[in-house]
Amino acid sequence: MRIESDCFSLPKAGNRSDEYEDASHISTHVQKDATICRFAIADGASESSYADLWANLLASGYCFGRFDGTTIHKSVSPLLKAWQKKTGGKSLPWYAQEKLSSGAFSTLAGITFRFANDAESAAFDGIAVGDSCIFHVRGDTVFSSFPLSTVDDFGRRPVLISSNAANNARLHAFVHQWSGTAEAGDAFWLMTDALACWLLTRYKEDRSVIRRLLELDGARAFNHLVHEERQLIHRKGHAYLRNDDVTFIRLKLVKGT
Amino acid sequence: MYSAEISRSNPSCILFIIDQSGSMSDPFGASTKSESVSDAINRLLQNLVIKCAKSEGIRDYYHVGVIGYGAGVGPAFGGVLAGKEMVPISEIADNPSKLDKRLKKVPDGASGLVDQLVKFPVWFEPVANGGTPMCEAMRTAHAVLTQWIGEYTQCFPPVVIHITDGESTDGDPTVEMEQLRALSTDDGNVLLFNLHISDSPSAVELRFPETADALPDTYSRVLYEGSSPLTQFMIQVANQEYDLNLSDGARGFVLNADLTLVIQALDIGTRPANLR
Repeated sequence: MRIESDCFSLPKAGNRSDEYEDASHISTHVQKDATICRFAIADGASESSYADLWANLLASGYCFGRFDGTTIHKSVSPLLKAWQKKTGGKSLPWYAQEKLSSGAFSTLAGITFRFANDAESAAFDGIAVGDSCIFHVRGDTVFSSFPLSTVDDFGRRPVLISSNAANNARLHAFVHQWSGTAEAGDAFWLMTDALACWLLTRYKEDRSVIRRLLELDGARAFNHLVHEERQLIHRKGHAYLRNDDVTFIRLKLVKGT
Repeated sequence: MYSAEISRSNPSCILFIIDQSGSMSDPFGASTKSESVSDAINRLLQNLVIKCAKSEGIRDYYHVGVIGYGAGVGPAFGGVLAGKEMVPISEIADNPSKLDKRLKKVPDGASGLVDQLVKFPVWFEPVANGGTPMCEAMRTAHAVLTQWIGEYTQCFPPVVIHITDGESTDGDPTVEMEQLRALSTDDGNVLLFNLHISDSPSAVELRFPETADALPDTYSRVLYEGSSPLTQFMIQVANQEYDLNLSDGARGFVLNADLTLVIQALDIGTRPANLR
């Protein structure tokens, strides 16, 4: 068994590429008779500062194996210190100081696969905070979705992981965990909220969206899809794809080594 | 309606109208009405600036104007902003007249609050002078917004925040407020919100009422009737973040209360539920 991965991303239309505040990370640890693969995305909240840095710390922290869903505060603690170290000690205007003291905020969705090198299935477990999602796709069907499963689940005010510990007091109640078994041939898609919501909208109308994403053959095709779907208007009057940073990790579990 | 994206290329506009008339020197609580007005406008501007702050600086999501009325009617900023009708929010951020230090309650991480010393920007000092030409102030606002809307027809419509003790001396402002609310962009009508500072003995603290039943006097009722209904998104934020129980028909009117909610409920992207 092996896992093929592609990562696509695009900033919000109207923003520069250095203003993109999502993050993604991938890691593979090959051991003697098993492999551990971790994948994570994070979406820094636009109403906070240094959110890109925080999202990167969370996604990479997950892929370095530092996350345990049952003790989220302990997992986040060294990352808070890293964020504070990188953002502290600067002379800032009053508003930047105030914003900094509130901390940055970000979602996190991560999934870990463990499998023997000659296996045809893999155990997986995932965690999520906020509205970044992971979809388990089998054939042309969304087999399961995590942690959100309907368009109505996407609000604009989720509880997120903060780089200021004082804002994380109730965080443990918002950590979602997931586990299961995947088979060779299955796909897993990690998507930040705008894209995840778009997928569920399109899927409800027509399952062909699955084939469309499976067949995306590179960054150019992804960019074209995003631009097109941001322009297309849904019958409810809004764009099919909300204008936001978008990040997509596409995984395929494949037989063989 | 009220769904246009607010961004640097599609900014929106917030126009404050503040009562600086002689009656504002009346005592109010532990201070005066004029101190309540200056405190309210400084706090609203502070919230708006912080909302637009990012690591690299301020993003100009809003153009902001402040019209004062009392001895005269016109742009109320002082210092380098004096005389300007409308400026990008970054210019306001960079030009407070002074920075005070104040204690602010912040979460302590254990479901409690602790005091933290923060810099509090001051753009406006208390002013109380002259009559209360509220109708003229509304007409001035109409002229300023007509010009702004002419340039930004597709943008989220302007929000007007009017802070007053309500005692107009140049007539009933009902028609002028109606004309202001009738202005519109392609995304909806101008939103007019009123903050009434009242020393009426029967005035209680009231936020976003759906009827005029609990209002203490005619001044309150005129301002209530002149206020726009809150948008659906604002009602959602009020109920989810401020633990209010508002339904359709809640008016953008508060009596002796804080209007910060309408600033927090302007949607410029993901706002975490645990950001306070």
